This record gives sequence, C-alpha cells and structure tokens, in this order.
Amino acid sequence: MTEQPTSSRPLLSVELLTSRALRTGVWGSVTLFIAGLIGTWWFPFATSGPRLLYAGVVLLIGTPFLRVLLAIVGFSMERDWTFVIVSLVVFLMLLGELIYALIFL
Amino acid sequence: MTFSTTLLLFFGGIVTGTIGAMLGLGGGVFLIPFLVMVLGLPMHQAIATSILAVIATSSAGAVMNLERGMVNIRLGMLLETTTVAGAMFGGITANYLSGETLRQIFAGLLFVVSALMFWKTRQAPREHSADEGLLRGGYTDDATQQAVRYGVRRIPVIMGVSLVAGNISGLLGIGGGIFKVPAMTLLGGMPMKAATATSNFMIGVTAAASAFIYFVNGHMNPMIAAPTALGVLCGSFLGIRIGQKIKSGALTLFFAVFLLIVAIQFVFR
Repeated sequence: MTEQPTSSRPLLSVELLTSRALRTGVWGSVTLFIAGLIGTWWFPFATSGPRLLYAGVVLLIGTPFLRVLLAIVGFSMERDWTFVIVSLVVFLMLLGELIYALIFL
Repeated sequence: MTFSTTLLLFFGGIVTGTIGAMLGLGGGVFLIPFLVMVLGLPMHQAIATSILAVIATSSAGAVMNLERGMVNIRLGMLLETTTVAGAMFGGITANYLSGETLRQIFAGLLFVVSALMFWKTRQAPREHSADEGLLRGGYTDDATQQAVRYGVRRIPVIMGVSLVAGNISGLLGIGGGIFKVPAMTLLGGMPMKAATATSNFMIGVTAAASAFIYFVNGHMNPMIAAPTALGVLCGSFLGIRIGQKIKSGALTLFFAVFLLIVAIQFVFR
C-alpha cells in the first residue's frame, strides 16, 4: 500500500532518545577499543590498555540496557503507557539476567 | 596474544562483517567458523566474541535506521519480550553444554541458514498488509521517495518465532535476523525494509541478554573481542555500501553453497 510522496515524518521522542543512546554507546566503546589497543601494543608496560578494552566491552554490552531504559522515558513522554509497561518488562528481564549472572555464575 | 593475531582478528572481522552485511545476515554466521576453524578458538569464546560484534553492528545500524524512520519501534519492543526470554535461556543453556555439543548444534544451524538462503533466492516480492492495527507503521522509501504504510498481522506467531530466534542467538551467538525477518514479512505482512530495520534494532538487546552470562563466565576476552568487534563494525559499513551496488541473487547462492561446505567441515572435523 503506497501513497504519494510526503516529507519524512518527524522523529518521535522515543526514536530520538534511543538513537542518541546507541550512538553514544557505539562511538564511546569504539574510542575505548582504539585507545585500549594502542595502549596495549605501543605502551606494553602500562596497565591502562587492557583496562580501556575492558571498559569498552562493558560500555558496549551496557548500551542496549541504556537504550531500553531511555525507551521507557521516551514512551512516558509520549504518554503511551502500554509501551512504558512493555519496555519495563524488557528492562526487568535484562536486569534479572544481570543479577543471575552475578550471583549464580 | 601477538600483534599479528590482533591484526588477523581485525581483518577477519572486516571480511566476515562485509559478507554478512552484503547478505543482510549480520556477521555471526561467518565470524564463528572463522574464529573456530582459522584461529582455533574454543566454541564458547567464539560465541562470546560474536555476541559482542553483533551488539556493535546492530547498535550502529539501528542509529541509521531510527533516524530514517524505518524501525517499527513498538513492534520491536513487543517482540523483545519473547526474544530476550529466549536469549537468556539460550545463554544459560550454553553455559552447561560442552564446546563439542555447541559445535554440532552450530553445524546444524549452518545447514538451516544455508537452506533458508537457497529458498530466499527463489522468493518473489510480496504485497504487504493493509495499514491497520495497533502496531501499524510507515516510512518513506529512499529508492522510490514514496510513503509506505503497513499493518502487522499474526503478532502472537511472530512473537513465538522471536522466542526461538532469541534462544538460538543466546545459544550460538548469531543475531537471529535470518528467522525474524521472514517471520515479519511472510507471516506479518511487513515490507522487507521495515522488517530488516526492526529486526536489526532488536538484535542488540537480544545479544545483550546473553552477553553478560558469557562475560561473567570469562568467555569474553577483551583482547580478542575488541579488535574483532572493530573489524566487524568496519566490515558492516563496507558491506552495506557494496550490497547496494550489486545484485544479491547470485551472491546469496554462492555463500549458501559456501556455508553448506563449512557446515559439513564443522560436522566431520
């Protein structure tokens, strides 16, 4: 089903917030990875290289968590309570998995 | 870990990421065989590395798709309730399985993915569903500059497929788009571009659901995962550009045969 050309629709609050969270997370972790690899191979006696790589991994894994959290905020701003609850369920499942990993593994 | 191994991981990531993005598959299906067969990594470590690369490429791709208004964010969030549950279960299960068992299951998956790729080359484009229902969406098609509006049918069935896709993702470290996209287009009646963008948007959260399990278990080595993720990320940007310029039918067929050979090698290795 297609219709005549229209201008692109404005982005919703939830789309803007999640895209900003993802952009920050990806470029932040890429920066940490590059700095960490340079630190590891060019300054092998410094301990900061592996630490930066470790921080990059944690930031990258944490980015989708942040994205879901900001989706809750975005849907709240749009007063879409159904999807506030859906996003909250996803966030609580991710949190449950994190707690399980930290306690039982 | 030597400097040459780091370079090999980076360039291996570029090659597998490029092929994955050209075929719309994500890098995992090609990355894991590379890590296991070329570099001799244990299966759990290869899966963990792939999961991190999947998070990177999905997140970067999602930024682009969100800003172009291609993602059906409500549908994506709803499907994440089942796909995250599946991925958590997959990640926990993988923890109790041996590397050999995971390798055999992965070989089985490669046969299925190869068959799906053969099947994909024979599919004609379909009409999408009418613009109705709670999860209807729309976007402006870049190629035609036309506004496309659609609805989504059979949502409970797609949620079921997402559960299975999430489980496979958590267990074997792939994105799962190869299962979710056909479910959204064939069962849900979504246009291919919206289905691919929505699936890609979901994949990062799905992968994160099992990532911490691998991370806490010590399977995710930052010295291996970081250069690989960087390589796959570069490769995915390259693959998207190349994919837009070449006809994908023959290419898909070629890599379907390639995956079949890799699957046989995985079984008999």
